[in-house]
Amino acid sequence: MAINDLYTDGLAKGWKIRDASTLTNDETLEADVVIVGSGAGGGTAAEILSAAGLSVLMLEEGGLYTSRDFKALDEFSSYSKLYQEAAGRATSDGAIPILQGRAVGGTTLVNWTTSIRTPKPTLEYWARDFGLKGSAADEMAPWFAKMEERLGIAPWAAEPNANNAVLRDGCDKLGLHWKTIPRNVRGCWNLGYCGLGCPVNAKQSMLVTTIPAALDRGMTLVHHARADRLQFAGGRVNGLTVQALDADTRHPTGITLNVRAKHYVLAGGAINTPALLLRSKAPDPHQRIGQRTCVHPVNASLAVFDREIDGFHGAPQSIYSDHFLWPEDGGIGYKLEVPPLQPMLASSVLARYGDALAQDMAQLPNTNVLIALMRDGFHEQSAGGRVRIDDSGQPVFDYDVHEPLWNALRHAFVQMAEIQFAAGAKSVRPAHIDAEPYASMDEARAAIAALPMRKHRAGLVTAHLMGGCAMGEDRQRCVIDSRGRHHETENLSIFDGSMFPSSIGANPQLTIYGFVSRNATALAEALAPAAKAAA
Amino acid sequence: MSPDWAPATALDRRGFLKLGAGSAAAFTLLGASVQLAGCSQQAAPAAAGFRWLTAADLPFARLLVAGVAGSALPADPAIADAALEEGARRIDICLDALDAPAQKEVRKLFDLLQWAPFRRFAGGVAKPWTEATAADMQTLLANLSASRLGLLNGAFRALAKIGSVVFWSQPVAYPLARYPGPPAWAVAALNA
Repeated sequence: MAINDLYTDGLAKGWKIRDASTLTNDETLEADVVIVGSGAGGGTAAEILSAAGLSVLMLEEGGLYTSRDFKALDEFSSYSKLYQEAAGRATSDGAIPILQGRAVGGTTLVNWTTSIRTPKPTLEYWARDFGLKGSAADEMAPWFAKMEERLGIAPWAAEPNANNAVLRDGCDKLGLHWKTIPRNVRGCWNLGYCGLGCPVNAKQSMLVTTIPAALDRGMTLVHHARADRLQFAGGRVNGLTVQALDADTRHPTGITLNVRAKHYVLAGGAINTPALLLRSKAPDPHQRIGQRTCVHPVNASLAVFDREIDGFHGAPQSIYSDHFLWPEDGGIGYKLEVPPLQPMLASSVLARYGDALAQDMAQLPNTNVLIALMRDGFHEQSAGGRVRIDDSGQPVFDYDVHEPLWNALRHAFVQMAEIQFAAGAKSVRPAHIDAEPYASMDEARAAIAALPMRKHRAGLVTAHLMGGCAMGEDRQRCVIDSRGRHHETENLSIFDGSMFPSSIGANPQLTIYGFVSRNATALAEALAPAAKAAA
Repeated sequence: MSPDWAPATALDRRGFLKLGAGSAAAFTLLGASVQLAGCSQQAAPAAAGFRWLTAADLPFARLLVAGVAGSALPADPAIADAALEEGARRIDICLDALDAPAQKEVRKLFDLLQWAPFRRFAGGVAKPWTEATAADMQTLLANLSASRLGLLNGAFRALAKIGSVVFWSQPVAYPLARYPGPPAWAVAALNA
């Protein structure tokens, strides 16, 4: 069956796409706006700014991969090509592995399509504590609605796969809240391989939506191109040096691109954007760049059923529960979801080896996994981590876990086991080095109470990077203003996950789409008032 | 380096444990010891056909795949060898893709694991990796996992994870996970 390859068609009609690995001479590139990064923030901004008649240059350090590259549905190939550090990125002590995209489309190319609006209490917290203006739930609603329409976001209409049904059925039995997840898909085949790149262009990632729209309007896309340093002078950015990367995107070729633009937009994500600013010695009077980087620390619970779950097939995320997200005592809450269970990803969270691992893996089709995503960054003792740079300017991400967060993680181990047993699990094992499979809730509860909650013993992971360049009017605490403009620099905006003052309490993509849609529209009006008049 | 040779700077078991749980300085300190002892592969070139692993790393890398695969390793020696070789190739791809700060940490860990005093006292493995078996690798993993040092638990997680992903991502392992692969109808349709 022929799947339209948008990029083959696009190149035929004149799209300006360049692979920096093939360049043999240094060049100077000019544009009204340069956008560093092509994920949720960069893609959304590109469509809006190019539609306003501005000339846009988009830079991406990863490669360009399209639907034809995803037909094999092969885990190793996709994880090693489409993710930061071949999916081996982690916090500096290795305690929290990080799944983050690195290709044209950014993380939207490989995320699991969950599209949930920013929770109202999160918006209230940002307004109250960080002076974020004009961003109340009713003010943001039209921007979310616009992006939901643009990206086909709607609650998943098909039956959830059995892995997700465990969460639904367990919550039902216990009288807990659950909901169907809205997904950004059109014509989804329900295969379950969203994390490896969509082979049928059903996922409405930036690769197949906003970036093609911007290319249609004349945007230039340069991939294999890593932003190295911004030049700051006189309260402005005067230029950006960019390194061309080799075909593997791992090493600079030695070719430099010098970019000159009227306005600079950073959208490289919450690790690379703060690192670029720090490397460039960006003005930072209150030393806020890279601070309060949040990750929704995730722990997991593994359950074995005597029926088939087949969590490797079917839409990976279609049910969530917010029952424990906003605890009445005001403490750290968490969201419950499930992950896809193809063998490579599943084996990586088991933290076992040899025969024990082989036995776990032999039960894969009967295994369900629940995950709990902690709402970090809302409490004094859970202020997120810090992105810094090493001597060579490379990002290093430190993240400490304090007692209140460990308590929430332990609470989640118990609640996830309750839900799994309620849904009919025969045994449940928390993803923790010291845990065993437990055959009853009583046994599980007693054992979980005694688990040592320490880094490396409790398994943690994240796919959500938020913060490091907080957005708000409080200049003591924030790097950018409520419209994403840098407080100290006239022609610099930050349009990615690093803008959030804390974690979100929901999967980040729709929050990024909504805020960037609003902030890029304001930027387009400021830079191209003529276009606004014409519209 | 001779596997039984203990340099003057070697930390004895007691001295090693005194470093304290989770000490961020511990890897740096131990790494410095390894460099003083002249064992570091930091400056060594990648092995022929590899991007990052050195010739000295390769026996350890293959053994890591074998130890993590355990009874899932195919019985046919030729198929098993191919899975180990492909596993080492995939480890190489993964480590080559890490950013420099993470690569530095992995290099320290790999050097430590090659260093006889560490291998013996922290890992509980007497033989050098060129002579060790999958069971020895499992002894190392068990000791790192059981250690009271967070740092060694972290080393365990890193090794278990990379061994797992490079083995269980291979089609040869799919039947053992009763994983049918992508839906056949979809693969057929996509490639029609």
